[in-house]
Formats: sequence, structure tokens, C-alpha cells
Amino acid sequence: MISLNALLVLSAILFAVGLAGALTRKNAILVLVSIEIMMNAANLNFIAFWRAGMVELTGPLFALFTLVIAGAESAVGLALVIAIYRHLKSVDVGNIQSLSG
Amino acid sequence: MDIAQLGFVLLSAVTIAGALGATTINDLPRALLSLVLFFFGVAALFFMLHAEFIGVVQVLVYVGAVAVLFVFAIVLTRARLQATEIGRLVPSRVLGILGAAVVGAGLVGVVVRTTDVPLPAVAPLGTTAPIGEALMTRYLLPFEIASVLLTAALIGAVVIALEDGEQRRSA
Repeated sequence: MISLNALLVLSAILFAVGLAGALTRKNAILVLVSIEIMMNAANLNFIAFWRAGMVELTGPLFALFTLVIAGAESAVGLALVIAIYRHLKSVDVGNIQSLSG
Repeated sequence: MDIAQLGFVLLSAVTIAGALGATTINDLPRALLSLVLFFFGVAALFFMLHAEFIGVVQVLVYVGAVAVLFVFAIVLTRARLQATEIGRLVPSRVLGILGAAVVGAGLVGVVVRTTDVPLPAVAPLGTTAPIGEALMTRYLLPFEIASVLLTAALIGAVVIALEDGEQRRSA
């Protein structure tokens, strides 16, 4: 049988990959992609703890709410990307620095 | 190694490959396809863990909605990649990868130091019916707040992405 730790290690690896992507990508769309990967890694943890019998129904329910949050987040995030593109004709996060001191 | 472990290793490999592809491929549509592979991998892991309902919702929401949203964002921005994107290891990228590696190593280090628990042979209660019941009773308020949040987010997305009125009139 699979153990809980195997799932947690997989989730940690996926989270690290997503974090690396979010920190190194220059395209705003791909930064959002990396954030989605991190959210999925967290979701995997909720389901893993539920499957191990440590949390009751809270695990799948939290995963469900995370899905809702992720949907809302990507909708608003991509709308912002489109608005920024219309303004600056670029989605490079390095170019978005009007507020930097 | 029994069949469940073999399946888990294969699924993990596919999922990690999808995540790596989505974070390293420079071609936008290909990176997106890699992300879809990752979403399917996670959904398959949910199925393997007997969280069928969450797996189905994962496919519906992520592959069905979020991935399509990303496709539209790519089409609408016609985002071309800058020359700096092509695999150059500037110091900020090295720092980013190092930071992520430290976070990942820390998480893995904490996990391997805890006592391991084998998953019970029978999955706990938590398929569609109990989830629906919980959403309508104990979790009713979070459920309603989530729907309000989703409505607000979608209206907000439309308003943000809408062209300015003056711009449209002058065009």
C-alpha cells in the first residue's frame, strides 16, 4: 500500500516546482500557471490526510473550496493580465513597474 | 512492489513531468498542454485515493474551465516571449530556483522525519453523498460565501477586462 509520507513528499515536490516557476517565469500568464500548480499540490495534501483518516470530511471539503478559490483567482488574474496587456502591450512581469520606487 | 504502488509511482512521474513542463517550456501553448497533463495527473491521483467526487470536479473545473481561460488569455494577449526568456540563467532566476529548492527540501525534510502512516485499506466516508450533505448543513455558510465570492470575482473579471468606454467610442 502507499503510505501517507509518499503522498506528502510528492506534494512537496510539486509545490517546489510551482514555486520555482512562479519565481523565475517572466510571462505573467505562466506565473499564474505556476500558482495553479502550487494550489493543486496543497489540494493533494488535503485529500492525502483525509485518505489517511486524520481529518473527517474536512479534507475533501477544503479541497472543494480551494478549487472555487482557484477558479476565482485565475479568472481575476487573467482579466488583470489582459488589462495590463492592453495598457502596456506586454505581459512581461519585468515591464510592470510603474509603482516601483 | 504491488500494483497500487506501481500505479502511484507512474502517476507521480506523469504529474511531476507535467508540472516541470508547465514551468520550464518556453512555448506558451505547449506549456499549457503540459499544465493540462498535470491537472489530469492530479485528478487521477484523487481517483486512486478514492476521492472520486473531487477528482471529477478537478477535471471539470481545471481542465474544463481554467485551462480554457488560459487559452483565451494567450489568444487575447498574443503574448510573445521576450528574448530573455530563452533558458538564460540570470542571477534572479538562479535565486528563484535556489529559494524554491530550499523550500522543497525543507518540506521533504520535515515529512521524512515524521512517523509514516500507511493508508487504511478502506477509504473513509467522503464520496458525493456525504459531501453534498455536509455542504447543505454544517458547511452551508462557507458554501454560500464561496458562491458570492465566485459571482463577485467573475463580475470583477468582466469589468477589469472590459475595454474603457471612451476607448471603444473613439475606435
